[in-house]
Amino acid sequence: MLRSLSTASAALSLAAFALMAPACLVDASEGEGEGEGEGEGEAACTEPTEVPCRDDSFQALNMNQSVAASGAITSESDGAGTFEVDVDATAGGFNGSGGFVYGRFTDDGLLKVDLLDDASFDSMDWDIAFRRFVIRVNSGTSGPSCVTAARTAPSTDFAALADVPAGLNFNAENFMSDPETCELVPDGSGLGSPGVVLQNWWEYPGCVATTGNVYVLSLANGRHVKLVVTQYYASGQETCNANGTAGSDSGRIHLRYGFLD
Amino acid sequence: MRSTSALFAVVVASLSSLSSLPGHARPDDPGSDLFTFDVGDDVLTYDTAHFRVHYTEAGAHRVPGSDGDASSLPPHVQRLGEIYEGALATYAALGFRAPLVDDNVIDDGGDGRFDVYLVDFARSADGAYRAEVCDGEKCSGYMVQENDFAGYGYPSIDVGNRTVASHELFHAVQAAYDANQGAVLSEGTAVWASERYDPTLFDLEGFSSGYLDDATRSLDANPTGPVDPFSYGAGMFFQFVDERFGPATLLHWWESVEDGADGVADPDWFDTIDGVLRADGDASFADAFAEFCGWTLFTDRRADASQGFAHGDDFAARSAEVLTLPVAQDRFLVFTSSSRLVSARVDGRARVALRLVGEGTAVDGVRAYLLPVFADQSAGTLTAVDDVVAGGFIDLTGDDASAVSVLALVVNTRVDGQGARPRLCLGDDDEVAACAGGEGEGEGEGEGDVDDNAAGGCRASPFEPLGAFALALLAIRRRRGHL
Repeated sequence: MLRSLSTASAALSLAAFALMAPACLVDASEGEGEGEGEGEGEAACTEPTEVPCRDDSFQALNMNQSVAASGAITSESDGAGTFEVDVDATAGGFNGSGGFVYGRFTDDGLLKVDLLDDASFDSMDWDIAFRRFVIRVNSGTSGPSCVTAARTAPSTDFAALADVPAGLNFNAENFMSDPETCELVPDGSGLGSPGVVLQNWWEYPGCVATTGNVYVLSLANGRHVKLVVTQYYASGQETCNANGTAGSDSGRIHLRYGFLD
Repeated sequence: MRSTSALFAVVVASLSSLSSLPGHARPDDPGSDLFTFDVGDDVLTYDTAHFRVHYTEAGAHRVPGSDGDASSLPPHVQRLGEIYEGALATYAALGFRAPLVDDNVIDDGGDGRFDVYLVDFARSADGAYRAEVCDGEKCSGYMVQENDFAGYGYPSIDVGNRTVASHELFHAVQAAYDANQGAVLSEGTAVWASERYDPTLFDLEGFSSGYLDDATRSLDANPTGPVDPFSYGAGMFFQFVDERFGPATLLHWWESVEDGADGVADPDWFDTIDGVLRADGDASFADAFAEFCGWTLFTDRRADASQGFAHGDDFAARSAEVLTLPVAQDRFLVFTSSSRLVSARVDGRARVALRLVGEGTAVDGVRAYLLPVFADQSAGTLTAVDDVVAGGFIDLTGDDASAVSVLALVVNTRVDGQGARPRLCLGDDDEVAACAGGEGEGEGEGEGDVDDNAAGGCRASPFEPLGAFALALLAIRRRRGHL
């Protein structure tokens, strides 16, 4: 097993924009980060799009105004193109005030991008973000990029998935209503959480149970990633899935991903 | 049947005799909704002048003091009738309308009185007003209320009854104007109203942290969950309006949101507030909101009735971000109709200055204040920075020489558009000058600590070890809400 460098200490350094908050690490020009741009796809977008309902989204998602999330991302490669990724999305615990943990898919693992939540609405440097059980991608009402996601057919075998299935319906984030009203579009769970495109990675039989749904993400650089979330609790996920009893140490996301092109 | 001055009648009503419309079933139609009587319950009623209380003396929903004798009235029920009449009289004295009568409903509970159904919520909630039949956005409805408060956190059944009845009844009052004005106005004014009925209740105080921990949210921000402490805690703003401008302003506010008021087809509460405040108090919303934000600093141990609420000591402390001077923070985000509070130790500085760098929406409508805080958490006098772009300061001399920290309050008084994102400069004169002339490097940013007392000590979630989702639902269920 290879262990890639994607912890906070090895966070991908990214281009900052003018007057970006201090928590945003700076540097490297876009597209030149480690592991970046190695695919064959044609870029889906290269320029940021203004995010509608920005402040409303920020508040509806209880983002953090002042401090970038400290949660780490670690990735391990199986040497065959699949990464096992742990994300500390605890955000200070239930009712905590921590922000989203931002990541970028690369051939070296999911690299953490240090961003303030407010800056995430201006940045194309991230693909996916985690806070507790909410996972959003960088597009639409979530960010200025064009990362979209589609759920594959039920019972799709993650390991066996080698190509982008035909007929997938890719969606950008659209968890806010029209710009006139800018109200949260909930996910239907009754918890007031946003209806993000990856919302069906979990269900709630009394705890956060993983569904095993396999998603395909279309990235801004034109490449595609297959992804499945396998864990929300550091321990006890199996029990949660089996009988609805909550595990312990929640917000410890474990996912698996690999590039499809 | 017997009657007293309260004009009551005890009526035995079999469930099968009650008619109902599909979709308008009442709680005495078992299984029609989340909270109903059980099949086989004998549902009795007790009438006051304006209310009909539906209860049972046996089974899971029995009220305290039940003796199984339908001819005798449990004191619990009689007392509840008094409470509802008292709350209604309070709201009427303030000029508010009575709830709309339900005599246009087939299942009207038996007559046009406002119906209150006492059922066991099993600690999942404690009561709910149900809007039932609407004409436009004015609705009649009924009330479902916890039958005995067994296992609840109220200090007594009577406190539970007074709190829930007065709160939920005010929702029925609101529905006589407009039942769809959103959670902040509806829950916030309901929390306010409860203590207009009974100042000894502690609901507003208990919910105050819902706002004071989250005052960085826009006052009109939509709820982030089915029951949002912010919406209830926003009762603090309405308490401010009451204390500062008088309760009639809140009445006028509700009148202003009625469909067609001032020629507006469907007014929104946040659009009408400026006009109401100008008419009643000769104050703009911007002035009033900035003043309110100042008041929020004078709670808990910093309570000072001369600068804030009359009973600020009963409220929670306002949370602050703890930073280290000098502060030079770019993109200091302050949402519309919200404020941010920074606490920083002065570390021997004889003067602390504040300046905001930016132009246009970065500073338009933005106001700032400075407040010295002493070791015992008491505070000096709040000083407004008259021109946030030019900057202002407080001298820590004389009585303020012993200040150990300073609070910097930044208020965005705008109600529309995006938040303000100026550079915040805070420190002594030289430090602020350097910040204002520099590129903004973010010096002074702290650990993101949030301090209830603005002088140290981070807040921590009390729930984390127990399973977030289960507790989220528990928290939801323990609070009132519209079903």
